[in-house]
Amino acid sequence: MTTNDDTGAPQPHPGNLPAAGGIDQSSVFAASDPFVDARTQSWLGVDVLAMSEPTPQFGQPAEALPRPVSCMDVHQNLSIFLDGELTVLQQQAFAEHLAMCPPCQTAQAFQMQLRTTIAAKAIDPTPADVRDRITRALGFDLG
Amino acid sequence: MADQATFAESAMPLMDQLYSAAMRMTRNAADAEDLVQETYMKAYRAYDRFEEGTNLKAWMYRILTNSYINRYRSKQRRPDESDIADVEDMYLYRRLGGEQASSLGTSAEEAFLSSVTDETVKAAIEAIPENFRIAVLLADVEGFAYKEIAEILEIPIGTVMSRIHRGRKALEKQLHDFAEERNLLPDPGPTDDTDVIPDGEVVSP
Repeated sequence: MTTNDDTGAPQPHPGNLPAAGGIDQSSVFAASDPFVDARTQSWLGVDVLAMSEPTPQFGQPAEALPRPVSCMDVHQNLSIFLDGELTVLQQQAFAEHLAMCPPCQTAQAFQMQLRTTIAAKAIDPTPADVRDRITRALGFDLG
Repeated sequence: MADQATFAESAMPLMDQLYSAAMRMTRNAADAEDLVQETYMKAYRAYDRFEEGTNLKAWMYRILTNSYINRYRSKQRRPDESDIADVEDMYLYRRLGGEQASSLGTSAEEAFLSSVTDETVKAAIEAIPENFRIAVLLADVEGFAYKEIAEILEIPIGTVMSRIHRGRKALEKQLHDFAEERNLLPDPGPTDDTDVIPDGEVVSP
């Protein structure tokens, strides 16, 4: 057995500690995906905090300890924050950082506008003939 | 138990959303039409097993997604998650110069958001590898929560998060390439990323 990660193979984070502050990660972040499990865990206990890293970063035990939300945390997890999928405490910590950090607010505003733009522009109304065909196939009146 | 008599009233209003998703999945109108029809026929036949009061939209998407996977995935080359390149966080924002911005709404960001067309967004989504594409669609276009997506796709929530996270970055990369083609990117300044300069264009200092 080798522990060399030159192959890029998933390796557990040596500095892993239990999630900070007793935050219950079990419901939303019960990551059983090997890809996700392999990634490092931060103090937030959210695997995806390090998902953009091609390989886990070793030798940074401080990463596993509670600390304030940094701009880097926001950059890496803004989309999850905007999804409202962090834990309540995490959402709160991110919101507090954002309230005090204009550069992160700018990034947040852009990501929100981008998301709205994508959702608004990826719509195809069903062609009328297709709607009629399906309605007939179901035996409904076309009305 | 849901009454089939209520199916039309409950399910038919979802058709445009389902059709849009089917278009992004199959990437052509003929297959999308067949897929939506198949979804409605299956849903109607199974509707008496749908638990009233639960999420009809998620249930319909589950049928749509399963039908798509069963019917179309076998036709394609294997869906390979390693196909997706690793892209940095907030890729598009960074490339549009957002990090250098001192206030909201730089010209490059506004120019991008106001000039990006429906066709571009659709093409960008359709360019993402399948597994990531479906997850991003369900999250960003349909607005499902991670837990709902996990149920629709019958995959663990950690996999959902991974696919959405990486799929979004891939989408941003596609949109960036569009912005690049349209010369919407700001002067890159001193950088080793020379491919942001269009071929043949002389960039004055």
